[in-house]
Amino acid sequence: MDKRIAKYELMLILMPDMGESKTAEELQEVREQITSVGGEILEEDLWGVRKLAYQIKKQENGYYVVLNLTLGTDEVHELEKSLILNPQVIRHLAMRVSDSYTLKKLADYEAEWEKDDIESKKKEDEEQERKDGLKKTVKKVKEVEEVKEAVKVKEEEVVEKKEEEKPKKEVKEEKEEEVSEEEKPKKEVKKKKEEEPDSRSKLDEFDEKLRSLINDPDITL
Amino acid sequence: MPTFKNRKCYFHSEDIKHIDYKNTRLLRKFLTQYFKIVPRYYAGTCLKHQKEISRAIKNARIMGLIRFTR
Repeated sequence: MDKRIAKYELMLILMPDMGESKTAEELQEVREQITSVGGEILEEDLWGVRKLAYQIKKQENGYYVVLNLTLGTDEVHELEKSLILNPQVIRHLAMRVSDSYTLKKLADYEAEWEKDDIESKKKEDEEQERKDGLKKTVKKVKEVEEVKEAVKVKEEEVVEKKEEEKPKKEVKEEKEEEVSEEEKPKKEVKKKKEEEPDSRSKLDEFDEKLRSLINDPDITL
Repeated sequence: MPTFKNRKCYFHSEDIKHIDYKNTRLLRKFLTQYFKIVPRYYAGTCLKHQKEISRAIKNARIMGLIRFTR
């Protein structure tokens, strides 16, 4: 049987109240244990004393250490056994990782999180600005809606009476007002003026235009 | 988290290859307010990544990085 060597990530939580020199000794013991069995420590990340999310072995804090190492597959179990028996180790976790894995240190993560915080704050500020801007536009939109309702009422009257000339003019005027408010291209209006189809078809067109205005997400926000 | 059709897995869209149990900020996205793992039909992750993230969350819980419950 030839030995298989794999890459592992080992995390240890040591007792927090040992003092610096003692923790260093304890760590050195673990390192020697690894290297004595033919392992190799690739990377190391000392997190220092951190608060635990919950009590472990009646401790509120713990000294975190992360090691990246290569070890034979059988030796890992022995290492774990000894770590369980070690009273200075609160908890440990040995994880097998792929060969291409590189350790990302806590400092990198913290820098990343800070960046995220800054970005999210910026986004919030932008959204607030947008909302403040929207409040002004909403007023305008409300006015436009009132105009639309008035137009609709007039249209119904038109359909009932089937008079062509007088309501047409009114409709045209209001059309122009709307266009100026919404800043739509005036070409469309001009084209419609040139064509001037029958009253009913024109009313249908106007209906469609109104619907598009109502369904327009930019306006009805 | 998206709940619509044709949604994409978060880890596919962000192109995250290795889910690290030490990245607690990332794991927090896949926990409810009571620190339970968000199920797949809410989180929108694919099965492969759901398994990885749940494994990572459990590892982080064991190591005292995240609490088990609120």
